[in-house]
Amino acid sequence: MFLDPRLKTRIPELRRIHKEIFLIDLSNQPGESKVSSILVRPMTRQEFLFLQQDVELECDPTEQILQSCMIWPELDWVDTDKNPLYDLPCMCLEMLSKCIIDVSGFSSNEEIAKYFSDARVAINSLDSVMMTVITRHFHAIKPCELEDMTLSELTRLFAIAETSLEQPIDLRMFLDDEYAEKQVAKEMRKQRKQIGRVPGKMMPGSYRVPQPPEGWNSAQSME
Amino acid sequence: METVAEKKSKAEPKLKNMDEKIPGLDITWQQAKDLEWDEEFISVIQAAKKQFSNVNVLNCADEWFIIRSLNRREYRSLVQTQAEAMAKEVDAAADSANPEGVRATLNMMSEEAIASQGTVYPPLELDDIRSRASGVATTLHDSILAISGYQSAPTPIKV
Repeated sequence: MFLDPRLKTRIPELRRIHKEIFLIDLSNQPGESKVSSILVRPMTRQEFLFLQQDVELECDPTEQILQSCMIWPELDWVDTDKNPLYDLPCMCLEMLSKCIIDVSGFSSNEEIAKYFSDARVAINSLDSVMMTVITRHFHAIKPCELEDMTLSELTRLFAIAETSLEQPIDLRMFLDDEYAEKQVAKEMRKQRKQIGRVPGKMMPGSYRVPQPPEGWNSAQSME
Repeated sequence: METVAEKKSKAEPKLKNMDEKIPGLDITWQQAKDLEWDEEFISVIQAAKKQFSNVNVLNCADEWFIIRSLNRREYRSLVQTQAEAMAKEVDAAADSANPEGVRATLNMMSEEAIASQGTVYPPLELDDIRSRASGVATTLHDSILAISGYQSAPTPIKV
């Protein structure tokens, strides 16, 4: 894939501004345009709601989506004669705006489920646990403010917040996988015991007569 | 002094290798013959391909059309012109008993405008389109928009 040399310096900068960015390579696409690749960001939920309203009113939101979410190169959207995207075949802009809608994910339940599943996995990391404990203890601190702190500042707050917990965080759970698995299994057994369903233990009404072996015929055995 | 062979070759037109590709096109002379394209039509296609970046040939209602893609600037201009026409028509239709009919007419006008702009050969004015079979404008419009996009959808890569 051809990467515009100017992008090599802009990608780190733009990622820090927009958090999540996507590159769309146009170098192999037909049509004469000076734009070989573009960088886009996903739409916010508010922008997606505006888009839905535009569609309901049969308005064409294509250019507005690109204008808002295309973060590189910077193009002139007022004087279209100076905008190289307008040299592209007309439906290409529709396809680019569809790419932005797709990466934003709001239009698909599958995409929302995928993001949610990834977030669930991430929340079990020590970093996420630390953030959760801090925000629960220090109500005045917003999660976005934590993003601007150093690790040293965060761990100091974490240590203070931990004192409010019934028992301290078992750090070994995050450092030793084998230990963590054993602890999880132990916890599950404990929970099962509490609800009175211990596997292997006889419970009233749980006994079932086992099925006879395959091929066994009671009529024949009587003869 | 010219030899007999030279005189003969001048007198007879040079025979084409029918399996050779036509210069500037993606088809052979044989394929062009099968499609019943004459030399004049082929030269029009060659000229159109030199002038425009994305040219296609289409058969509709027993007639060959050369169409090209529209860029966003042209498309936007057409949409704006149609929007202005629509505004006038909406005013006119305010008293109309059939607003759906007005809308259908405006859609047809939009199709005709795109078909006219995107057709390279034969040159089509709006009256020329209206005098042809009823589906020609829609077919041309749909085909012009179909070739005015990417062949394959671009894939965003998270960076």
